[in-house]
Amino acid sequence: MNIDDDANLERSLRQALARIEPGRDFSAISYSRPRVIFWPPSRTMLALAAGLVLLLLVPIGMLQYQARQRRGEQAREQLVTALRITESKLQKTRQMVVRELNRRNTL
Amino acid sequence: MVFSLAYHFLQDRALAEDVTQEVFLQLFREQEGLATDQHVRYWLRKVASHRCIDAARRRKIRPRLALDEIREPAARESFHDPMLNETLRKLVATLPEAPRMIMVLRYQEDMDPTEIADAVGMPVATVKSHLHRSLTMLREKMQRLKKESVR
Repeated sequence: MNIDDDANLERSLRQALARIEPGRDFSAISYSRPRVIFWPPSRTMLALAAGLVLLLLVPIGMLQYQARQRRGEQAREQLVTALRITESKLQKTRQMVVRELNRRNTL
Repeated sequence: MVFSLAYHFLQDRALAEDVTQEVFLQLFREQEGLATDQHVRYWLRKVASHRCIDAARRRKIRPRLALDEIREPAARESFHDPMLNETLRKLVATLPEAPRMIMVLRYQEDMDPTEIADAVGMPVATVKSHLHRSLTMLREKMQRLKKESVR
């Protein structure tokens, strides 16, 4: 056969690269491996997913708690300010009453 | 098909088996998206090609055979010449990754350049050029081997 010829070279290549089958035990190994390969990743994936959920839930809970605390703090500060204003108003009114009584007594 | 493709490309039975297994595991995971037999065949060829190239790059197993390492084919070549086949397989194995995969897809799977281009993600012109250059290179190497065997 003359390999210099394109058609012959191509035919030879087709023969040389013809399909070959894997060894007989390959199928048996392939069918048995998925059981080993598939389960650990899926369990690992479940554990990872649970871990991820926890990782997400903990910071969210913390943020919510901090926000609630901040709102409580603000309400307390507002109440204290309101009480201070009321106290000063009451003091001024009392002083006015005392001043008026003194003026009447002197008359 | 997948094993054969991997074996011809990688020239390593164990590695070819690993690649075959990886491809079929991926097929098992992605089988829902594959509706027809044709689609499965197309998918297998495409994924196998990419996996083979990845495996070759990962393990740096591109064989660089010297011409001296390849036994010269028998002087009178018959139609089914196992020695010629072996020589051609070894010469194909010396090609760089992309042209090697193109040659395997062309002569094992009998795919045309358009199909090969689609499978390996290359322009058709590049595939044709790789095929042409690989054939020329193989012819030249075979001629050199012949001359050496005559001497």
